[in-house]
Amino acid sequence: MKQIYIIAKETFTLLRRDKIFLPIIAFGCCMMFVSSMAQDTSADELVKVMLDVGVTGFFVTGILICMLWGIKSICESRKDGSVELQLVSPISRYQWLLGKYFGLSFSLLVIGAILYIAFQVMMLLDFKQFISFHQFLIFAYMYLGWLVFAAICTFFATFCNTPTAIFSSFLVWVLGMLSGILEETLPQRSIGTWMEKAITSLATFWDFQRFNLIDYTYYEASFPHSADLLSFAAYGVALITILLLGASFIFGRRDLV
Amino acid sequence: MTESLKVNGITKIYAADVFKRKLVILDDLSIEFPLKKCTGLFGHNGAGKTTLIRLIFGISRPNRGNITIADSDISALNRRKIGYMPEVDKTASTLTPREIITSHCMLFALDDIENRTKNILEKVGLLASWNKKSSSLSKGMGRRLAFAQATVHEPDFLILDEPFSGLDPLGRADMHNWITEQKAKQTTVILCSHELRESYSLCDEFNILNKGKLVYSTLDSGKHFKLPAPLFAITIADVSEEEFQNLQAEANLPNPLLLRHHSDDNHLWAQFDSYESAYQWLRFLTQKDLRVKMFGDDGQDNQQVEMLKFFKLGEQSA
Repeated sequence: MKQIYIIAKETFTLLRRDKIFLPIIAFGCCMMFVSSMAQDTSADELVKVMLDVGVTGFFVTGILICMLWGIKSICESRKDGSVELQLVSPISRYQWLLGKYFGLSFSLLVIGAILYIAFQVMMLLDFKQFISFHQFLIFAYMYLGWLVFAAICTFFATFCNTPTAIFSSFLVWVLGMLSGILEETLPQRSIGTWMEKAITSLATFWDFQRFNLIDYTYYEASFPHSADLLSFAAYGVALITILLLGASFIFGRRDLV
Repeated sequence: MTESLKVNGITKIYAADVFKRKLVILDDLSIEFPLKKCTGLFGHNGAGKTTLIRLIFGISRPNRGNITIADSDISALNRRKIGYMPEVDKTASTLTPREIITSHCMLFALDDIENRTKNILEKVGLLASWNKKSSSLSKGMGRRLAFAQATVHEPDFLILDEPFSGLDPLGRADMHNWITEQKAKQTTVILCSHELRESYSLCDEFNILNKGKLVYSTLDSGKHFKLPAPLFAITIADVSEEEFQNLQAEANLPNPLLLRHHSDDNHLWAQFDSYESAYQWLRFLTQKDLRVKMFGDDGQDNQQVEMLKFFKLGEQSA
């Protein structure tokens, strides 16, 4: 456990000093500011516009940073050989990989917290109100979505080069975001074609809309029940576990150079 | 019988991608590294030295063969015992030497980390730069940092991949001394290099690889190959013979075998019969702020010629 902590701490330090750390925070804060501007110019309900734009900005920023850092932290270690130096020490490959993932998760948490605070400040300045608990849960589930995407990036980064890992992770993520929507487009009376079955299966096992609760930002009454929320969280944790297990399995069995 | 690290019939094949031909890097290679000795692993670039090192500490896996240490499998070897200095700088560029060494010490669960870090960085001459990012260090400083990282946990096995590359004359001399210190501690050193000139005087035994095959080993009694004793030389800028003799008298320094002054660019060339004598001079000259243009072994061209013969031999048999 201590070995994982050491690698995670080092990964966090590396990411904190990364050139894109400050620009990505600036980008995220700009998105929050844009959400405030949007509600000034929109004809729609003002708080709704601000929430929609702000939460979307939060989501996009996280996905971008997951993709850049999740792949970079592992692919670069493999490319520049720093993984060799660390694996000569008494640490197993799976510990190294978990350390990298937890370091990335903590960095994402810091970014998420900064953006959340920025958004809260905007809400206070514009509407003198605090983010409600159900809105907080929306941010929390988005963070869970980031963690799932970070696990996908980690998985591909263990055996692909940087461009392939970025392309594959993004493709898999888009598939997850679209599967639920595709399922909704199916006819109500199923005719049982293989395509229908494939889409239904995909939507059952690979549906990332479960972490995207943006639609409920303003309408609290239709917010999912706690049982559904628990099942979404369990689904996220299960996905992360499976992806990291797969990544550890592959990473433990291949040449690292 | 001497205990040793044995590589038994290792074959390593790389395939860059599915459309390219597979590349045999090591071909049924058997090689031996006696424990508590310094063994050189020499060969041209691409001979398979670095691949063999990676197989020894498990970053790569062999397609065939195994590696044993004192007759038990290398996988059982506790990695706390290995120190590795890679061929090129592989430390994270945004971390400082202090962070790199501290993190390394923590991975090895060492005690008194703060003092250890200070001591090792002081030893390799990096204490003044311990809070600078490693990307701002020069190549030579990077090599010093790599050596510090490889030895801070006092390993039983030290694997040095091209330890002299990128070092200035003083750095080379320091590296030479540090490796000698490790030998005195009875550390098993594997010194991997394509520069026979620099490494020969350090090695108790040596092996020469060519195209993934062992073409010569001092442990193989069937082949005889003896290099002439190395000579060391220093070239000093802007110093006359008379000034040289005054300096020698001032500090009671050893006599050179040969001394030549080149008047066209006003430098002095001095040759010594031992590394220690040349090193004493080097230390003294740098303290006096005199410009040392060259420091190293000298008159070893015949060594290179001999070594090439073995490479040719390997090429013919391959």
